Amino acid sequence: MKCEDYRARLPEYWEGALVDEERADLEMHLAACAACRGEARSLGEIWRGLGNIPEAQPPSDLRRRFYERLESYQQGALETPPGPSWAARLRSWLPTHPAWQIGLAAAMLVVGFFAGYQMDNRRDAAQVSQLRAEVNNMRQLVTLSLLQQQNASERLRGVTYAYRMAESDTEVLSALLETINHDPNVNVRLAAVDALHGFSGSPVARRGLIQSLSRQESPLVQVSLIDTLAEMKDEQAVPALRTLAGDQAANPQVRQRAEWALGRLSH
Amino acid sequence: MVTESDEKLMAAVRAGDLRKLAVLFERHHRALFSFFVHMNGNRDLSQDLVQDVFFRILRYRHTYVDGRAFPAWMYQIARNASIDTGNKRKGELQLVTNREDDEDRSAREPVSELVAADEAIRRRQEIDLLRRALARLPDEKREVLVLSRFQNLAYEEIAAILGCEVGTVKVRVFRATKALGEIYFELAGERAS
Ligand SMILES: [Zn+2]
Repeated sequence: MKCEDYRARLPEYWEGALVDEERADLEMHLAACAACRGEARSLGEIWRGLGNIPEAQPPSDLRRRFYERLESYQQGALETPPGPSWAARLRSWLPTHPAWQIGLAAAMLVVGFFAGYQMDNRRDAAQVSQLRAEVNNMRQLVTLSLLQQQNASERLRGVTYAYRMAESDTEVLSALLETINHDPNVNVRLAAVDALHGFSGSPVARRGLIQSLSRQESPLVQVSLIDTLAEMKDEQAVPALRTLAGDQAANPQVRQRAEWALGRLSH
Repeated sequence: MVTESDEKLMAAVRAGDLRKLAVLFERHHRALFSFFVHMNGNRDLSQDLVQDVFFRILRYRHTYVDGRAFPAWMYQIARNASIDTGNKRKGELQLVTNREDDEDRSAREPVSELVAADEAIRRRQEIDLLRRALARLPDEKREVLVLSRFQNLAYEEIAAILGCEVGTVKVRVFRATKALGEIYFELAGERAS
């Protein structure tokens, strides 16, 4: 064995991961070779030093957000039957970059349109709806990937994509709720509230909006949430609205709006 | 109590028992967070990436193959997530001071004697220097070093994550350590002079 081969074993040696024979072999070489001995000494110091670096501790928020999102994901999964398995197959060959996904989705839309046009002529409604479902799945992928971007304007695009979802989609829904509760940008949060109008048939969406009411600090988002809940006419929102209306610390306009919504819900 | 293997849990998640993801999260989210912090030096970004990884696992659960080592699969997803979102921030790698972590640790250390205090200061300087050296290491070298030194992964697992031979991993870990050492001693020299 050459010196280089012995040196490649050093990290395992420091970790105590070498078998007896290998260790004895290496130690014999170190005893005989000053160059390797020097390297082992100085780099061993580095290796041990790395062990003194304290591990970065995750913020407590990380866990809370995970469980929140898992819960809304699970609730959604109970409400809607699992998607067709072809979607999983489709994903395996999909590009991961959003720009490519958008391009692909756009191409699918065009294909879907023409195919749909042709089939309408043949009055083949079943195949048209199959195609629509596929296009809808492409939209879901694009929406989800856009919502995860670092750039606020890209996330905004993701939210606007959510409008095009033909029906409630569990994953998009949970991503939108996550956006409403945690996106640092007020404009993105506002757009996500608007996008949830399309999910008014879903109890998960309504529950999510009600829970979000107490979390929001931006009066703009609060008013937008109140208006959405008033429109949905969900009586479950009443306690949360009452709390907000009576909250001395809240923005006066927000409290007024909550009063107004309570009036609408009680009729 | 019998603890279920990661692989069993993941198979259950794939079959629709989504609560099992919480067990996997509890086991791995700290290590994953520290991996990302080492790689991008940004706590906020790393927090988002950890969320992203676990929901990618959920989304792609159907693609998990039985018997596949879960950590290797998870870190592969983590690397993809990092590439998708992290690339835009390339060149922004900052030194994470991790003040809270340091203070936590030093608070636990007995500093009753002057000698101990001196030792604590010397050690902190060494850690600071090592962090700076790590931040200067090229991404691929830092990655293999972090996986082997901080994530407690076997060379076989690292080979599966990086898609190379076990022998190659050994050589790469050593070379990364050597490169780190060169940067470290250079920085230490600058400080001394
Ligand atoms: Zn030698």
